[in-house]
Amino acid sequence: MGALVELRNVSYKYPGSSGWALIGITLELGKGLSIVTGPTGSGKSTLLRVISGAVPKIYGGILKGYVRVEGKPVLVPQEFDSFIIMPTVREDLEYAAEAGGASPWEAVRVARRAAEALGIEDLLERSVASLSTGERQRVAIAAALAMGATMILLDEPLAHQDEVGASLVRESIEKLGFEAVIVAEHRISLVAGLASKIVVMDGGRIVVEGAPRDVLGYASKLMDPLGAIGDRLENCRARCLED
Amino acid sequence: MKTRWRLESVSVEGRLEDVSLHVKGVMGVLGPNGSGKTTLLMVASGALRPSKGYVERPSRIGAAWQNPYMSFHRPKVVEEVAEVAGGRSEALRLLRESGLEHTAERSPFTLSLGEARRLSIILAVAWEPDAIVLDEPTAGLDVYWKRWLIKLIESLGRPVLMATHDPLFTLAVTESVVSLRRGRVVYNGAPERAPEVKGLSNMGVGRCEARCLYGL
Repeated sequence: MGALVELRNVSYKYPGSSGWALIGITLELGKGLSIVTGPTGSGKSTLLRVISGAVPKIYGGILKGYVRVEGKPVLVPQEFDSFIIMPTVREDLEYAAEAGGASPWEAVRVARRAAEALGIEDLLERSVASLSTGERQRVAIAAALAMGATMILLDEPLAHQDEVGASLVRESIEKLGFEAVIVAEHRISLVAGLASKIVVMDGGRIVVEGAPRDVLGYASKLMDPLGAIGDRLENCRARCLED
Repeated sequence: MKTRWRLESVSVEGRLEDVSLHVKGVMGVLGPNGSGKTTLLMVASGALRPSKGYVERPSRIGAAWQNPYMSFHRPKVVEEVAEVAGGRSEALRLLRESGLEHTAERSPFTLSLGEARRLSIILAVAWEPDAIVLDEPTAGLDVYWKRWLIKLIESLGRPVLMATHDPLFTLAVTESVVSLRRGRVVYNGAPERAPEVKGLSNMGVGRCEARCLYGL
């Protein structure tokens, strides 16, 4: 089996929550890009947190079922800002390298390589606070790389700016050498073509999963109809003309 | 109550350059990453003192910043809202209206981006400030919640200054737009003629069509 991630009948409940955020998830994810999609609150982020081990380690709560993950997963959360902890880019990447097991003198080299891979070597001496959101997003991914991640989990990488996030997803698969890239995103039209598997969630369950061409029609019905603007726009034009 | 909201020849070293504007109604701030949108919002709300220029603003301004998690400091979602909305029952009503009722007893830091965004927006408006600043309020929201946000903004009846990357949303909700490039205002006028929105205008999408696409 080539599966790097294997979940069997996994359910999860946040502490203090009355309902289950994930319900009976059975799923295998392999190499390359996998996209988890679905409406807001459908369980995408929670699924990433389970795969990364953040649930239940950091979040607490009740996790049931079987979870197996091969390699070293690192989660780049939506709130990636709060995971950039050092004042300058260089210090943050060196800290990440050391957290990943590099010795302090190796860390300097590892950090430099990670910065070069993300094209942010010019930012190394800059204070993190002075960077734009797009730049900080690159720092967060460089930190995952420096930490020695073999699998990167990106939570809504397109949320801040579509094209910037999409090119980061593309680089993660094509250039950065991660074995697996798992993306949770509800606007998938820009990245769906790159995926080997798309998982559509709703209400904490998997609605459908498969190759992009098999599930995209299903996904677009469930999600942002503005991704497929055509018919609706015609109707709206007609309606606005009447008014 | 001071209600005039204007910036006169405001500069912030290396980030904003000689910006003058008068905020009225719902005003959008557009421009690429790093063009100074957040800095402009910070100056306009009083969070950042400009190195040059003059700011006149309402005294009570509610703000929802780009990273919604920065607004949270309470152990539970319901406590965050109760603190600004004046009580638990009012807080629960607001959470219900924003689809967050099921998260009431959870830590706000376990929310997904869309949920956290909604919570930070509620926190910004629930204390009925005189004016509101929203930084990328649609990031992480799907179309259903964008519609919710349009209705919310329109129900406020107060000046709103909003930075966004979303031209369709801008078209649907703003009355005027400023566009920034490298810290300078390059456009100040009607939303449909803003450089970032022109693509939609050329497709024949105006305010009415944009609102219709959101199901309004």
